[in-house]
Amino acid sequence: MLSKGPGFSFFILIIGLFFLFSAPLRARIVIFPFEDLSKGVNGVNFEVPSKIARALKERGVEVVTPKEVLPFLAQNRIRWIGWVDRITAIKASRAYEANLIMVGTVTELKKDDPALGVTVRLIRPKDYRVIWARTAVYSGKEEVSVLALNQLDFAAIEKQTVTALLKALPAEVQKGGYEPPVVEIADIFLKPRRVKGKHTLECAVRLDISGPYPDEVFFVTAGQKIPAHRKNSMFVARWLAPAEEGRYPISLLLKWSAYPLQKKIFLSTYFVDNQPPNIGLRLVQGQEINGEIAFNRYIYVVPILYKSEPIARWTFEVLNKNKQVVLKEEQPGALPSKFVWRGTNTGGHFLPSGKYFIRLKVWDLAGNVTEKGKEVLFVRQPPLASLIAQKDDQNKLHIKIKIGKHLLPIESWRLEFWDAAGNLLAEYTSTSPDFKGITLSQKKGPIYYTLEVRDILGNRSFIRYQPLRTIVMQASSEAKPVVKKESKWVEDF
Amino acid sequence: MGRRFLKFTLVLILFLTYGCASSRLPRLDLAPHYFRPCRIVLIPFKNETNDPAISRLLYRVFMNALIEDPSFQVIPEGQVRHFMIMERLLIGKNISPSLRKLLAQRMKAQALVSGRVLKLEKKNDNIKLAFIIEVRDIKTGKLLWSTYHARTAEEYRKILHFGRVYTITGLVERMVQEVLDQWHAKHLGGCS
Repeated sequence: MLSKGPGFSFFILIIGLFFLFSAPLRARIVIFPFEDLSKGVNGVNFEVPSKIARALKERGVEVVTPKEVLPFLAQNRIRWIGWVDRITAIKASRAYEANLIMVGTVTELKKDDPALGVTVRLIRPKDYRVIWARTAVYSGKEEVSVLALNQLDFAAIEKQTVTALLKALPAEVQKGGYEPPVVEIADIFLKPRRVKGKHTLECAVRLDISGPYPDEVFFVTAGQKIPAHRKNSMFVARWLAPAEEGRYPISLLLKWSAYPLQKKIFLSTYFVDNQPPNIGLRLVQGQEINGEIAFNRYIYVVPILYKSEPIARWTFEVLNKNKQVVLKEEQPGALPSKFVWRGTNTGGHFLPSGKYFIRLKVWDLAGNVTEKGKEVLFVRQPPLASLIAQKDDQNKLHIKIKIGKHLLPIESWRLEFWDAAGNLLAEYTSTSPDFKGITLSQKKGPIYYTLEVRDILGNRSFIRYQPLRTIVMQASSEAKPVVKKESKWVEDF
Repeated sequence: MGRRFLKFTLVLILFLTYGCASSRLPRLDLAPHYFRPCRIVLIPFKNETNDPAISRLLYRVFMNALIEDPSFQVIPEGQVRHFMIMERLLIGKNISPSLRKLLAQRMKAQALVSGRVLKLEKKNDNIKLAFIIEVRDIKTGKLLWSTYHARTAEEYRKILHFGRVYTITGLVERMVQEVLDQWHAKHLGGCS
């Protein structure tokens, strides 16, 4: 019986080291099925890559054949061939413990009239680099010798093509290796990106990992480490935003317990915003009258954002003198360059003349709200004007213009008198709002008049070619006392 | 006798080498302020022909030739395709300036190479192909240079049937090599 002393242990160690170092450090190549353009843009080819796999095996290179790769492609839902993305390359290298990936395209394949064209690329998943690429094409017609003595069939063409492809394989094919997991952020959802202090934030991340999922995942922000819980394919966490305003970065910390490995990846940033937007309003196209902005057709309300920041939504309102909202418009997103108000209500009908209050409410992305307002005077109705003509004893007409109650001062007026034949008798124009009486001598026949009165905003009343009705002036002495009739009972009744 | 034989030989040589008389080089147009990019993004080519696979064929052969060329460092196709899928960028569509900048940032590339297959004709055994390759500054989108190349398979005939190209891949491979030879002659690659 042999005793298992220290000599035996040393012997086992030596044997182990011998096997460890004598193992060949050869490459292991995963050969994906080739894209076959001879069958169309969605064609797949297994024959050519299988031939290449066999040729590589003969050269002592370990390969994973296209048929062996099929379950991997199905499991990872790879719907394309001819190229491979970084994560898939790394996943495949992990799954098959390979250090190179071969992808390729059959550009031409004719069996009757033999021709074969193939392009291949070798990808190193470690740094995701294409380390080698080759194109080879052969056709029976091109290889025909003088007098067509040596005509090649498809098998010969195929062999020639594969040999040409693998003529100068890179030195890397003779090496081996195995890489640690690679992580890539597939999706990130952060809600909201602007938040008030001490309000809740939620972040979810979907990862593409070549290898095992990490055992612990944390979101690191503002000096705190928030553990994330796994929900399907995502890692989710919630936390309270810091009270102080500012921009805070979020990083993702991944830890694997199987091996001493942790990765920290920058994800995104969020803003803590406690201040409402600083806005102002400027009225354009109105006219300042007695300290008020008046308009008759439309007014531009230009919002001014003193400190630029993203706006979540806004509300534009117009209130009447009873504080009732007569017009309301609200939209999500940024403020428009200007609002145009035409003195209408929400239904599109014109509002009566009067004072109105324009109010703009603005919310930022963090939910801070601010409002600004300005009073305007809307006058759309023209001044109500009429003419009073009094005839005196000397057959003269004393004419006065009577203006009804109007919100704006009168700017100008024009008065014309015409006879029945259409001759202009007199014309009076004034650019001042004063109306001194006009005296006109009475002539035979009716007199017609035209009156135009315009206020300071251009609202105009226009009475055109109306007959002048006169009131007869009576002296106060001629005024007879009104006799009150006495009521009597009628006897006959 | 000797002069007659000489004349006959000359006529025979002229007759046999008639096919290889034409040698059309690609047309290279350089922008006035071009630079020599090293790291390049090759986006899938646009197809303006009736053959649905020709643009992909040219793209793959051209990419392989560029990968083998030490003057350029080509971003792997998978990285470009992944970007296109994520950004919903269709082949042949114009890349917006913002996407182009994002592409430059992600790939850390200096130039964007795009191409269009303009013509592919197959009549009997003769093949005619025309394409244009454009190289742009990825940051500004300005054209650095463009190469137009058109060839027929018949043009490669040397003597009798020798040298003549019978496959599209063969024609594409030769044309691509001619394009790259011209780029080398002008020292357009920035890596070496």
